[in-house]
Amino acid sequence: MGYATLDTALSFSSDDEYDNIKNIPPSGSSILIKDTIGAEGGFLIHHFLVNQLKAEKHAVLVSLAQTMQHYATIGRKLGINLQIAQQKGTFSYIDGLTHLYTTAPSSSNDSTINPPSTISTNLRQQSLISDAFLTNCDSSSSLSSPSLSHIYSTIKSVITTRHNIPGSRLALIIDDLSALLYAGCNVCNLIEFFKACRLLCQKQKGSLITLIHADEAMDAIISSADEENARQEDLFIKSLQYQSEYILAVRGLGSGFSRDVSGEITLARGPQNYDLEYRPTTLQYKILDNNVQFFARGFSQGVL
Amino acid sequence: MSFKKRVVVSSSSSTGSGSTFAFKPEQKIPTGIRLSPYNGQLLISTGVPSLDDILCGIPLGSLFLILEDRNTSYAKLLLKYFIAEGLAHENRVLVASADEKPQALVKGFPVPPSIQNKKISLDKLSSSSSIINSQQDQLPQPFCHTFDLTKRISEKTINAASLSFIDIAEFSSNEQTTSHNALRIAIQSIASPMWPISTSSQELFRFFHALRGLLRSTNHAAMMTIPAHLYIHSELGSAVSPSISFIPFIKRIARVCDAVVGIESFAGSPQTSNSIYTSQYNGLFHVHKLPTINSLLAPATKLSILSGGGGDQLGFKLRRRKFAIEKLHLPPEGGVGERRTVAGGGGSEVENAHKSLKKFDKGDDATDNDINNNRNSSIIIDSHNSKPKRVIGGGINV
Repeated sequence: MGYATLDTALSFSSDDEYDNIKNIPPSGSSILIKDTIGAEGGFLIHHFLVNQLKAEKHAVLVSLAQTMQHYATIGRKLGINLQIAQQKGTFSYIDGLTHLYTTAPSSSNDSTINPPSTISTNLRQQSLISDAFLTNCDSSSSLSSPSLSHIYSTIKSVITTRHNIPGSRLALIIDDLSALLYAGCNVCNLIEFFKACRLLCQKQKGSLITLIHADEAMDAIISSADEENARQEDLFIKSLQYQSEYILAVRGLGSGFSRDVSGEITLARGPQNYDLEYRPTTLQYKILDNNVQFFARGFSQGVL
Repeated sequence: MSFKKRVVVSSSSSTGSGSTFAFKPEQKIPTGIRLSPYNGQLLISTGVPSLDDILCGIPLGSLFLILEDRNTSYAKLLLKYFIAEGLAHENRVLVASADEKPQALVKGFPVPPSIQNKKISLDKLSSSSSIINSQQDQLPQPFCHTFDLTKRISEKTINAASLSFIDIAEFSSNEQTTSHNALRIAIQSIASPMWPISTSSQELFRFFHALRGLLRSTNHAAMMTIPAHLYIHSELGSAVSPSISFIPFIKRIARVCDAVVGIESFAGSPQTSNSIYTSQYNGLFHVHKLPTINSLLAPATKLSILSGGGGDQLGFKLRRRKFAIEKLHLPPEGGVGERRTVAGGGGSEVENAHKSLKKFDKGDDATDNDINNNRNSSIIIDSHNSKPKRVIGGGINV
């Protein structure tokens, strides 16, 4: 299982028709993870991924932050094998890190028919993935801002070919959507992209789990160029927050670093959340080797 | 090219064949690379033992960012250590800079004693026997060399090393080689005003993001310094210390780097710093981010003696021969000034006896010890620190 203490805190109510499944996000919901640089929220990605795969449900991971190896290594510690899940067809990995900007010779004849490979167990296969993001890039300027429509079509083709199964309860997990904003994608387009991804998940009765960066201390501003960036980021965070049902905000301790407490997490309710059993709280957590403990504030084992 | 179940050829060796570079067990790990005791990650050294302790080494395939100090060049020194460590291990090194000629950057390197020895042995080899050389080879290479800042690296060593330079001002591509030897990429003052390209926030982020993706599948590691203080708004610039929480531009870059540290020197700081600190340290050392690859928890939070997960304030000191990072602490209670007043005003008999005994023991060193030790310290401790130039507790050997 994922982190048991977080499961109890979130206490996702199970639908009637899927009564045997626990700890899966409600169908059609969106979970937004906000983190800060002092306390990164990557560990929550693994929680939702592990829960999803343990329940034999489907998951698609779009990673702009880490490699497949990273998720596979941690997944093994948490008790899932991503490679096997990939072969079984319950898990797909879309690599947005290594081939987001690179331009390769476009293999246009087959890229429209065949969806990109999502298996990255060796380097040769990785180069196949690249076709997905690349066919639209013009070869003259490398490092142009990534094409959102292409990322979307990649995700869509992966979902429709591999995960279009009734009862798949697909979870689309986007690790670090902020990277696209930082890389120069337009905010409005990015919000549209988010909505489109959400719609894809809703069709599968699934959920969308997104990690974004939301650092505070924006008030100590800054040059004019930064001001525009900050304004855009603010718009980005707020509109995503508005569209999500569950907001998990991770931040460091206000009192500074502690050996026994890694940080604080606020489980908040989005504007369209009518889940009666869900109780927004603020918890503290401690990251361990292969687990994360969540506890009420001040109830750390090291303190008590 | 389809989504059918793929018979993955190398699925059995899932640890070895992932996207992060790994060696097959039968292959020998090249010198200068060490396996992490925490998660089996391949690590290289920064060249500074105390920094190695804080980060637990730099994982191959990662980006390491140093936020530069203001008006001083301690960050450049760290970069030099990084390159020199690579030369000592005969790694491939790529140096890029826009602020000065990369060749000039290399010339001012500290040199490890082992390279000197090796050079001698090679000279001997050419004249007499090959036994000495083979003995040299059998000696296990240390993970991190001890460098002597007073010595400069020789031209011969530079010429022998596999170095690549990129002078940003007159950019040219370099040859590509495939080798298991680690490649160290050192970039000095990226996004400084000397760089001819426009460095908008988005473009720089794309560069870092693409580089991260590129490095992950290789056995390369990059160390970069960035003049973060230039990106603070000019009105705030004089009042705010270069902490990343104030600079959105740097914060975004820091997100894609695996490890981020900041150097804040007292000499370049606009704030008046306490003289008690300035006598002991050259500045503050901030750890913003620790490398967390293939694990939930940064290995350094468990293994590091010095930082323990970034909780403690760290300071650095540059002495004649070495650079060291230490836990920041106040000198013992009382300090220098108080002692002098007591001693000058007659003092008690015990105090005088204490002082005369010290003078008897060490002669001229006594004044030096006055600075380093408080009045509560015993004579035994004094005698330990009797060398005038000795750095007390300098660095931790890992």
